[in-house]
Amino acid sequence: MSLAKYLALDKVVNFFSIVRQNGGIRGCLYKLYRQDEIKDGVLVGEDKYGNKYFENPRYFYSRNRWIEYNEKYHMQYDGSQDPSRPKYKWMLDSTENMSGTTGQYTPYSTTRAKVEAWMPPKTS
Amino acid sequence: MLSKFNGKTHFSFRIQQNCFKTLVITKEDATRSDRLLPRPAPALVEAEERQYSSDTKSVKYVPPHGAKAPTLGENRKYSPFHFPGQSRGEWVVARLDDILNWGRKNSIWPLTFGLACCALEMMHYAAPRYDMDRYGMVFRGTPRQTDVIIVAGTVTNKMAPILRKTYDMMPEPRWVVSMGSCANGGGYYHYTYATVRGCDRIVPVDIYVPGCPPTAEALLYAMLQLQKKVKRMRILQVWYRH
Repeated sequence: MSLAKYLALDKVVNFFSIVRQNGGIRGCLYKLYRQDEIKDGVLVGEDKYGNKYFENPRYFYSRNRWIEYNEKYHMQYDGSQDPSRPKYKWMLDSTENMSGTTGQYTPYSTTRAKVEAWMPPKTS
Repeated sequence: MLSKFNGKTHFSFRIQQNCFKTLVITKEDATRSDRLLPRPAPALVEAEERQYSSDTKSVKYVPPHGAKAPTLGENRKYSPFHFPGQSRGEWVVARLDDILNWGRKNSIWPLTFGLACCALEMMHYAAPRYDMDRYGMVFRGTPRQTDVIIVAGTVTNKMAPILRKTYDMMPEPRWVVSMGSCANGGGYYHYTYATVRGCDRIVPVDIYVPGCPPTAEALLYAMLQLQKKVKRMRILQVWYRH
């Protein structure tokens, strides 16, 4: 073990590289606010929704890969916006879970309406 | 679910998949390709179509409150209360509602109501790996201090009045999360003489979590869905409009 590692100086180096990669102090504060965590890693790729995927094997398994959601989602990000999930038949093409928003799926009713509104006759 | 395998008929114990995605995405929901496209404004539904209101198939989809669906390219706003044609008073009460809902959704305190093996997954959801505390959710032992009851497990006939009384003791506003097949609809014990076939026969349920038992992750996702539901409560806006 090198002396720098023995004195835990590599942790200091890691700290500064994390701050640098996350856009300085202001960027770090924003990322801490948004995703409660700042990490350094390799940008593996970006999907069609603008989410970014990172990897760093230094972190423990299951924390070594992570996603940063598109900036446009702000705090409204959700696991269903990640299309890279393992594909099963019941998933089909991954779409965002829109339930509870104005974009939710609303099935049409097959029952006859109980109230029929009166439409005034057209005068023409 | 009966399935043929090796010529024998097997009874599959796990009736529903342990998948949190099936919670709300249905098959036809996922296949709708126009879901991410903006909806037509309600004004586009012409009067002639409304004339035949009993013919349900001719009535086009009208999004609630006339708001348009969020699209991919635009910035996602925090508040769900941005309507076209909002008056100044409506805007003010909408922001007050936002503040109220922000406080409520970030301190949802569930009641420990573990009835069967689902309670184990509920414990995992409380434990450090899934860690409900980061969302401000703290288990309380008494219904008087809770916002949501997680019905985790089989509701037997013997337990039914206790569940109802416990629910009645909770202060308003209160929510119910039905966890697992048994609480959703009887599940494995649907045909026994001692089981309530779904806790929604006793209490009004907000979120159903499928699974037998659902994973801790599924329960966590359900609680996040509940947060979304709390976020769109319209207490003051309803008061203002009446």
